[in-house]
Amino acid sequence: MAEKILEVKNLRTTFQTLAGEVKAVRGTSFYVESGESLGIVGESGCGKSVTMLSILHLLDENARAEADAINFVGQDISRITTKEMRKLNGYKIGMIFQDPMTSLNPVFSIEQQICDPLMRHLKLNRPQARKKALEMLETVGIPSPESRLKQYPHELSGGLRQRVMIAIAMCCNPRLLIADEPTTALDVTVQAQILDLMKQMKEEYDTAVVLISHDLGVISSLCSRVIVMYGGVIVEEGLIDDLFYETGHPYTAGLLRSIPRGDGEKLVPIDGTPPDLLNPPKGCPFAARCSHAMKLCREAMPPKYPMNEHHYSCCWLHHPSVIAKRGEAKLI
Amino acid sequence: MVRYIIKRIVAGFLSLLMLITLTFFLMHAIPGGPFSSDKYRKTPQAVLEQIQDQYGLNEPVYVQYISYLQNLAKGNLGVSFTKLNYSVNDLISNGMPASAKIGFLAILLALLIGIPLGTTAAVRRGHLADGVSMVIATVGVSVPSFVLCVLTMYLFCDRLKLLPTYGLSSWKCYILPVGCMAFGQIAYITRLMRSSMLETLRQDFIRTERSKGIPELAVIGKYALKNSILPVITYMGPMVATLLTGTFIIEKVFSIPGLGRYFVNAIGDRDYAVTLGLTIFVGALIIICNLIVDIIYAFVDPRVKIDR
Ligand SMILES: Nc1ncnc2c1ncn2[C@@H]1O[C@H](COP(=O)(O)OP(=O)(O)OP(=O)(O)O)[C@@H](O)[C@H]1O
Ligand code: SF4
Ligand SMILES: [Mg+2]
Repeated sequence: MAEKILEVKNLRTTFQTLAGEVKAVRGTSFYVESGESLGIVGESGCGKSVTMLSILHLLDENARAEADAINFVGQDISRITTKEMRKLNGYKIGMIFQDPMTSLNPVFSIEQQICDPLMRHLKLNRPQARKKALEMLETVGIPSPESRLKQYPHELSGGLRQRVMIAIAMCCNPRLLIADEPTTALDVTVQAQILDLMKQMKEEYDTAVVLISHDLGVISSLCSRVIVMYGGVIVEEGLIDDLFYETGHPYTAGLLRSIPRGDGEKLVPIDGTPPDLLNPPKGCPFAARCSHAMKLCREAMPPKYPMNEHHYSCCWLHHPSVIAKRGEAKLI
Repeated sequence: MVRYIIKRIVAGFLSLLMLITLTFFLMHAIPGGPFSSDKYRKTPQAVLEQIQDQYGLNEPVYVQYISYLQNLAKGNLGVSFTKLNYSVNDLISNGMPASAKIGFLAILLALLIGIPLGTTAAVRRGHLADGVSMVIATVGVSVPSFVLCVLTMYLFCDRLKLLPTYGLSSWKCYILPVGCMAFGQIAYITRLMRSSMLETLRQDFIRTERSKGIPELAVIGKYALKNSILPVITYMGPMVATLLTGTFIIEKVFSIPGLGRYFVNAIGDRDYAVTLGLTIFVGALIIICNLIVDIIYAFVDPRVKIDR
């Protein structure tokens, strides 16, 4: 079995706001194995970004993240200071963000933006860093990298900027790459190119990838394992095939029904809205929208029900007495 | 770049011409002339006529205007009506050095304190440092400079007897005028810097810098600073020009032989030539400063397209 390079145990993140405490992440636990790619899927606002930003110490000031442990390559990074974390950011863990239009600093050249982490983490001098930066731009498929280095972000298209972001995130050859909706802001054709590039980079550098998306289609093109998040908790986790063919959670089933399948079948969006994270329900977060919801669902948070070695689902439908009464739920 | 600069210089000339014309005709539209004040009540009418003739004040206004422009083209800003044998050029070369020295030091002080103070306030928003700097900024903007001058003079010169009250004979003389002049500017720059830094820190690319492992000090002091200093650069244009040419109140209170005094005296005395000459001088300086600032801005912010 591959080594777990990242293991998150019971992560809880809250935001202090004027309206009260937003409980954005409510006890998530998961792991990433070296070299694998893990997808995190869920509707907008379910806590995907906040989960990863908590791990990387990149949250806003009004946030508080706590965890029993976050082990990254043998070090508990939930206990270290932000200052110490910055020595791992960009070096052992790279990150790509959703909007390449706003994620690059407008008043610094591409060269300055790539060379800085190279010089800091790899202790290169300027000419060495420049050389490495050129190599990286070439690797991510940017034409005439020599002249691109001197340019500023506004002179590049969205797709090129996202390639630059990938080059920056990958330049120190990190163990883990976190991509937060890296293709959402791009044109469809460019999306496919960027996904291909990420696949290629992952193979070339043997980096583990966490890909955040609300689109199961995007996730399935890159990831072997998936976490489904809803209302600040993980509701289902499993290999991509388990999720597609042995769907365990009604919310996952809803997500699957809302993927365009290309066979002309109508999409079925999930009715209703996600729970209010200021006052999250004490039972299953999906209860208000679930067509299978029972009285028990509103009363108590369902535990993890293992479905196979890699696959579990947090839904009362898997409780033996419920199965005895209703039989195996047919979700799809 | 060269084309842009030439274009800006031409535009600058046109604005200057407009300024000259407007000031000239407005000055002449005000009733009363340089020799109509009480001082000249006992002067015989014939003598006054003679003097007015000598300065060309009896000519039609447009003739005066044209001859003024002709002189100006030769670099001659005119002669004073009230100070005998003094040309406006003389006044400038007399007053400018003192004003410019004080102004330059005040600008330096304002930038050196205002930028770090505003940045700290933004980074420590809601904490003590923010509160302190905002109090300074509010006081600085709302306390009139003459109050500040008089208070500090009373405290440091009269009570503590630490600093001299007038002149510019030693370095100690500079402390109060420079400090008083800079205070309001520090306040303004601090506020400007704070709000623009807060805006910058909200941007996505700051999170990117952190995700690259850049230490917080460099994220703020390098990556955020270059973005948030842009409004300060813009403000520098008019600020530099006005501070370099002196402030009447400060020069009056601290008896500094600067340009600001001449300006206000000239207006009181209806000394057209001096008022006009100094207006043009200050106007030209503002235009030049703005041009320089715009060029610096284009260097700092690559998004500014100047070759079009
Ligand atoms: N700075 C903040 N202050 C208050 N609440 C916040 C803050 N940042 C995030 N949240 C809340 O945390 C919750 C989770 O947000 P998160 O960004 O993780 O969602 P997401 O799953 O990444 O969604 P998206 O697909 O829109 O990116 C949201 O409900 C949001 O309102
Ligand atoms: S626990 Fe109940 S409400 Fe939640 S998903 Fe399962 S059946 Fe639906
Ligand atoms: Mg997000």
